[in-house]
Amino acid sequence: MSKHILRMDQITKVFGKMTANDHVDLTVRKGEILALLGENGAGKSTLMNILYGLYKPTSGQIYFNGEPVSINSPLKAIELGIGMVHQHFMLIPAFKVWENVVLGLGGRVILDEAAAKEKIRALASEYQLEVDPDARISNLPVGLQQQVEILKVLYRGSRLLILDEPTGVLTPSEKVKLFQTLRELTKDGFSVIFISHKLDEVMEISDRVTVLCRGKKIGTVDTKDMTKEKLARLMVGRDVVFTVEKTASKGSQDKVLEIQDLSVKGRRLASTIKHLNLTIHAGEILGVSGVDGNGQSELVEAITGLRPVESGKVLIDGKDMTNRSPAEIIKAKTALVPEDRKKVGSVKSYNIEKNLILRDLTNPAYCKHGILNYKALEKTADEIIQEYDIRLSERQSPVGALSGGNLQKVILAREIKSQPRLLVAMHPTRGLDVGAIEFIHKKLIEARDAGAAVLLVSAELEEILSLSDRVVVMSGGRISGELGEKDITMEKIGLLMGGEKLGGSANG
Amino acid sequence: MAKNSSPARRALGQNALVLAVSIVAAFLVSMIFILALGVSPVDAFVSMFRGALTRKYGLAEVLAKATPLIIIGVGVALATRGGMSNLGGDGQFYIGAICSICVGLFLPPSTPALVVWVLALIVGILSGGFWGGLSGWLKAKFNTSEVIITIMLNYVALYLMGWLVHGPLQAPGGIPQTQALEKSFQLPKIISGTRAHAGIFIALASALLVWWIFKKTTLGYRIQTVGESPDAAVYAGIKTNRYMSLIMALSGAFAGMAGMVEVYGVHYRVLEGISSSFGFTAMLIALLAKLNPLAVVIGSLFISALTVGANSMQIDMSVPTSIVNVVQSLIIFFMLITPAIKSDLLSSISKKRHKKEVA
Amino acid sequence: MNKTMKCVAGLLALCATLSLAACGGSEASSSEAASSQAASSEAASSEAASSQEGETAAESLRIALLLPGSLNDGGWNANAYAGLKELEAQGHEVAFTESLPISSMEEAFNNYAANGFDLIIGHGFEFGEPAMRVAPNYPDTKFFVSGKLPDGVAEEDIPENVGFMDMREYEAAYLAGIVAAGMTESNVIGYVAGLEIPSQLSNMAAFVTAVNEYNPDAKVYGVVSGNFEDPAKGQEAAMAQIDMGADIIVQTADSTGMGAIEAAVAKGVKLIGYGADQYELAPDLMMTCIVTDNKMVVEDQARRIAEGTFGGLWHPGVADGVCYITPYHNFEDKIPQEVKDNVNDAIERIKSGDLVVPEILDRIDNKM
Repeated sequence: MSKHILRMDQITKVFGKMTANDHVDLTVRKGEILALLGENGAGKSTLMNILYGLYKPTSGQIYFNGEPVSINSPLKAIELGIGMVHQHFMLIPAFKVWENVVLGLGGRVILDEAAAKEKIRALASEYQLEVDPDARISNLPVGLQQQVEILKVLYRGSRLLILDEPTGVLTPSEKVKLFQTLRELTKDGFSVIFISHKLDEVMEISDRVTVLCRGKKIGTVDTKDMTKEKLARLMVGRDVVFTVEKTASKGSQDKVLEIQDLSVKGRRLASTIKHLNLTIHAGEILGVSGVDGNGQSELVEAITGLRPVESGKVLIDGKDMTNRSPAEIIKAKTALVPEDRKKVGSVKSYNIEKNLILRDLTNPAYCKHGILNYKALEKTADEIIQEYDIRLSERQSPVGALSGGNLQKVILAREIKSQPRLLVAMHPTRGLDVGAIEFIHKKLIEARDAGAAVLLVSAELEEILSLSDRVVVMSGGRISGELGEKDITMEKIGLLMGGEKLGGSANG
Repeated sequence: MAKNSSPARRALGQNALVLAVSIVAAFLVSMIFILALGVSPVDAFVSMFRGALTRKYGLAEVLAKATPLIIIGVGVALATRGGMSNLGGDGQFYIGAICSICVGLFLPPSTPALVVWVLALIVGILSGGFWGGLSGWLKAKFNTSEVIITIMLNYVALYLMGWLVHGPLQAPGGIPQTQALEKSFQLPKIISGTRAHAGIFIALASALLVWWIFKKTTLGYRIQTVGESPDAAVYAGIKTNRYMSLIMALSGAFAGMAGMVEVYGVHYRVLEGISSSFGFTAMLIALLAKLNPLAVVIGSLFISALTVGANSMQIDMSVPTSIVNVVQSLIIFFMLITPAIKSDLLSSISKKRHKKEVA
Repeated sequence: MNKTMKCVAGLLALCATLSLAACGGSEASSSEAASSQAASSEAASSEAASSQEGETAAESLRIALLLPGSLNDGGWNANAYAGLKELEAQGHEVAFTESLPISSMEEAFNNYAANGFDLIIGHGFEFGEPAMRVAPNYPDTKFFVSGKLPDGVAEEDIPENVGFMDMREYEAAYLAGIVAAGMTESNVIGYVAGLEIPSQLSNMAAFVTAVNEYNPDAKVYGVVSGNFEDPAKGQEAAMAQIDMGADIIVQTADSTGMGAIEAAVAKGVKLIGYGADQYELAPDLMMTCIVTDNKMVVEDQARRIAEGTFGGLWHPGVADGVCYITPYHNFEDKIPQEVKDNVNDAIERIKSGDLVVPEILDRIDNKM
């Protein structure tokens, strides 16, 4: 028997002109956690989709338990003992846990409910999963839903688990729980491929790390020999500064954004905003932290006029902008870096120029009597490309062809160029590579120093920690706590994210 | 839209290539059908070409046929760029035709022709715009599908016209048609003794106008943004609901204008069948033209030439004109599949090359 | 390569067009020559055309027929098509287009004329206006419209190369009226007409006139159904007339009339048909039918061109043999000789010009 459960040999996958995987080797030992590290677009997902039978490799060979195999469908993968927990769960909310687990297993017509539940309970207790087979998925918190996904994979007898960015949706405590479960599993001989671009997690959980960059394998290393900095260098190809240079806020008392007793109906109950109060001053960055889906999107949308306010007030520069149209709010010098940079923040078929005036169509510098001046725009675009170091293969390509980082730079440049009083940035660095993150952080601080009030929504604790002058944590549509600059620590934020109040110790 | 840029030029070149391949393929396949009818395909196509392009009559007929197609086509292109599907070209055309002829019928014959034309054009634009805007407004208000509404409104317009020409507006003489326009109110012919009339200039102006709107104006920018990405449009502060109505109204205005032009240029009266499904043909042309207004002009001339040539072919060779519908459909068919075939071909080539490298 | 091909094709086409035009010219002159020959023979109707069959090769015309409906309609269009087939048999080159909507008629005229056709027949009065519009551009082509002049066009406005037809179908309707007048026992006659158009109205008026003249006691109940395509409506109308005591049903309403025939057959009521010899539909009840011979209308145009009588407004009727009533078949013995004599006498008087059947365009049946 081979000591490797999986060997992927010289895997190449070509989409049209793009090579997503270029002769990638990957091995997973029995009972280890292998982290697959890489920036977005490095080819991690493609490689895993090949392993799970969703894509056919252009060339290369997969060996499972030493045998060459051809995995042409997920069914085949499951049969071999490969299970995948997707980033977005594949559960049916209206069904119960046990129904979701046995779903799609095929075979017998009549389900043996009692036996299925028995097996689920046995598995759950073995790996300390707190799952009740009779609970309905829609009633479970995200962390438990993920456990159901893991259970589903185990139930099918998988020996190799692929987890695609599993921590993105979890609170810190849920993350701790997940890591416990994973360690438990490896003790029993299960193998895990842990896909992530977060260095901390990779350092914490993995035994070995395989680093991908632009579709190529950079190397595989033992985690214990590595530091975060070394990993980052492997991933980006250069040294990365993790701490952001930042002077203290000047502490202006000029209130730019004032939110009074705001209530907004949310997409879900947990994200419905209830009686929220918030103030941001000129020249400060207010970090809004929290697990995704606790009302951050709704808050941003309510401020920028994209979602109706039920009650309460939104004041920008002292003017009541509650339920005003987005156009009016743009006029009030509010800039927004939206959550979805591809669908909302930009028009992918437009080139850079045309994206630069997306929210600036009334600017007389570019437009007179409804006629656009593309000459003037081109000049501005050239300047911005210089200043923001935007890399494009062709000057006039549509921005859809840009990488995430470059696209985000275009959006940020547009919003900062408008010299906003209020800059709302939602997950501005999500999914970006370390280099782009660094640059965007620098620009956000520049905007602050230029006197803008910055509302930074992020789920990345590190980002919040390094940029914010003040932090509020949102949980269940409320602000569960506020921390002044000196109080901001990972632990305190973590507690507040879980919805807990800081036990009177919040000093100031 | 970017000028002189290599990606745009390359895309244009690729589109032209795809189109050329599709047309050639379509003709080759049609040859089989023509052969099956026992006619020499070469003779048939020569007759087609000769009929459409080498005679005064043929050329004039191509212009006459292309005129309404261009006008409706640029309107359809505008709507489609704005993310709306205007399948109501026929209905808007009819409404524009009915309303604009009333101007010519009810004004005294002594009215200067120019006044009549301008008024009729405005009435055609407004009425067609109203008819089109209706479906946009319904979509904005009640989220109804503009595809279904425009098709339904086609029937409403068709039957409305049918009732008018059988009833209140029917001219004496038993034929279901309105009175004819005064001779002085008819648009002048550009080639005497044919059906080619001055409306072609209105058509070309429409195409230029739409091209300019998208090339230069904020209106075009906004329309395109709503079409490309509704979410980004909302984020950009564009009132997308209002734009839905506006886009459909503009698109309908062109179709209504086409109704006026066809009535004042060709038929001089309203009667059933004046739109031989112009709306759908124009839709097809707009798609062939990749929504480029100037390409719509070329596409309309091309489709018209096909039709005129086909009629000539039918007379010369006794080949049924339906063969031309086959050619047209085949062109569309090949246009749809050629890009897919092309990318497949590319990937298989690169695969082979790759295998060679490995070996 | 491609360019040269195009040039060659263009040149070829040009040559072809020129030679066609030349042909057209020479044909016109040769047909004129032929007409002087034909004038001497002075024969009437189609027999003349067929007698000339030997010579037709020299004066072969290119003839196109435009039909408003389907050539399989068994009536108006089918008969015309049969006439075209006859012309083809005589050695002419023929072509046709069927089911033409009004909006495409002008284009169709243009198309055939531009292709060098000598005679283009638009079969129906709807073709009048398009023909008037196209004809001046093609002086070498003859245009015939089997229908009346369009509104607002006077007879003297007709260009030389255009012919119209105002047929006197009502003369045949008048003959049918004589038959009905003599055959009714209840003195009640039902009449089902189609669309409210001039030809239908004048037919009904002539029929009523004849009935009044030959049997003043008889009444005609007329219905203008407003439709040529609704058998149910025809059936309903005829039933109502039969309920009111009608013992003869006359129909001139094509498909709508089929319903009337059905009703009459169901009730055993005598019939007068329309459009063709409809004897087969009700052998024991069909007395006769009012018919316009469209086959002859189409066929005759080549003869008229040859004779040099083409053009202007042509009034074919009973005298020309274009309009007539069909043989009595099973009623040959049942119709009294007196009635037959009346019919024959009327035909003679129409031919001689002694009898002019009035063309009345009002609903005169309503006034009774």
